[in-house]
Amino acid sequence: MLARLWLQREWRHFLPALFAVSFSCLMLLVQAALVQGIFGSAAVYIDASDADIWVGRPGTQSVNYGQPIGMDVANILRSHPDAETVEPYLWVEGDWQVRRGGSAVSVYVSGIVPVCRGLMFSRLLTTAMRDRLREPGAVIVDLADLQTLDSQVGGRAWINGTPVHIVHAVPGLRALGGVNVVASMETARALQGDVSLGMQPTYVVMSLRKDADPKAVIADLSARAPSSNYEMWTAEDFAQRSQRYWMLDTGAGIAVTFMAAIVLLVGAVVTGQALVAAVNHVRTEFAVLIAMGVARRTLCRVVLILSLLIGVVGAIVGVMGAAAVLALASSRNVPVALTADITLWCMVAVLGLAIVSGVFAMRGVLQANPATLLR
Amino acid sequence: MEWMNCASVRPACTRPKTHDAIVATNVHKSFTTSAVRVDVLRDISLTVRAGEMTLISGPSGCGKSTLLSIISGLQPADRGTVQAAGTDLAALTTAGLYQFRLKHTGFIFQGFNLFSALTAFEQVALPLIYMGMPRRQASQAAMQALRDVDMARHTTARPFQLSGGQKQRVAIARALAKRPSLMFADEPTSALDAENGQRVTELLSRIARERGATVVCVSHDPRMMRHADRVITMEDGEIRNDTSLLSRKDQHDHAA
Repeated sequence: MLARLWLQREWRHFLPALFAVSFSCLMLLVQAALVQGIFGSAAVYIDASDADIWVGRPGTQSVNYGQPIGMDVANILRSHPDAETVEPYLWVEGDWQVRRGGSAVSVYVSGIVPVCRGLMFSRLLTTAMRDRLREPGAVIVDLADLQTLDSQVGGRAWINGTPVHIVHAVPGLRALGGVNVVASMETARALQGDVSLGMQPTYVVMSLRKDADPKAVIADLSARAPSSNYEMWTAEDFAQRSQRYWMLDTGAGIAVTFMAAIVLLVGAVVTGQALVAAVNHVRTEFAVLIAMGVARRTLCRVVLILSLLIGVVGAIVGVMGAAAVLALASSRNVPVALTADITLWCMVAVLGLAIVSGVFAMRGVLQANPATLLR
Repeated sequence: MEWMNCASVRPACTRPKTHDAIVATNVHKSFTTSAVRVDVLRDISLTVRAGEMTLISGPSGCGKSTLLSIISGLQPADRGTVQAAGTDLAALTTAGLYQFRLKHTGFIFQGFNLFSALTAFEQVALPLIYMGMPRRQASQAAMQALRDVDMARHTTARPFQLSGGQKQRVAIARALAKRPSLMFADEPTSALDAENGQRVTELLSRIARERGATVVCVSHDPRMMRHADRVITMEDGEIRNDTSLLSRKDQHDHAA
């Protein structure tokens, strides 16, 4: 009760603490949303597609590091009773030039089967768009990448020296480290240039019948046709594997974790200082209560409740602020994504920060000596 | 002006039967500062009776506040024993001292030490709740205490809305609310003007006479000396003079 009244009536004293907690919460959420948005794009090929199982070279760390595999694996997949659709997917790296001999932009070309119910990018491309991809040299790019590519829908360019033209631009194709370009398998092979690779795709993807368990199908296929030439992953596992690679193996994750730690540390210091100052301000009042027989642990609990209240209020303000910032970012095509569990974890971290600050501030209660009131 | 709600207490001229509430024997206390040991209290023996207002006076540094903190259980003596409300304070643990103070003592300090965020009512009621009293009972006790010090009309006022005298009366209500048998006051009038100082003095005197509480005050204030039942004068850590004014005042009351 004292904690609530104290915060309610003397909120100005706690503004620095509330600001520190809110700002820490906002920073954590925005960082998390950017991380999820940016690193989530490492798996856009998987997340935007309807394949349940991905098959590639053993040890592939991320989608973009795929290597050619034999198309014969497609027959093994099709032989499974739960198989619904099996199709190849070709990954080609290239240089985009608007003018021959001009400056180049790195692009990742995704060669897909442009059929009506194709698995790849099924969540981004309509049937009409897939039909357009059947034209030789037709490509689709992300809307936000048009500026980077210095082009527009209908515009012409060269990839690895081969002419292409943009037939559509859609949102949601942005990638990490380069520009995604979607083409038909035939166009992608033409861009690949290396004839020695023949018809080999980079991955073979498969969708399953309804209610089939991808893990069980993988276990079944591995038992039926064991091979060291390919490895199978569920779409979920492969997406996580790709994101984890970018997060951890590239060092980006450590940098983000370090930033989050700095945010929390600064927040804890500012909040702690504000709380310590507030508690020290009423140390003599606490000493009177101790003199009267109120136990120190009761007063420590008051300080902890106060810090928790500051944490809750700060977290709510922080979430509201982060929602506004992320809405603005999203409207400007900045890749941001935030899940409920990450939001919850950020709020828990901020509440932890506030409680740690409260523990620091409890020193004021422990140091309150009623004997010093007698002068 | 009527200060206390006398409906709940006995007539002013009736003094409850007194007994020895505090017995300090050979109490010694010293402090060491900058490698210099200073004997603040030198084997003081003292008996304080219930139902009296006892005033401890003396120059600064004579040890009167240290004596008050030892006989109230706020700090231990180096040597000697203190029996307060029938309890040997030296035998108590820290938790035992909390319980002792919770059960028996009320404190009034020179600074009012009120929480700036709380109203007068909350200043009095909240400590009672933190001491474990049920909310309803705490509310009733707080209201009664505020009525006793004539602050019932200011229950919703916060410290910045109160005068110094009103703040001290709230502080007294806070100390009174749990109806302690031992009241300790350290320079309770030094921050108050003449009128408010007089009111606080009369109030403390009445608490002793009408409730039978043991009131021990440390003060230089001559107004308090006039109302005290007994004046103990200290110097250099020793009691130099101990004067009981009780018989004279009782005669005066009787004549009146």
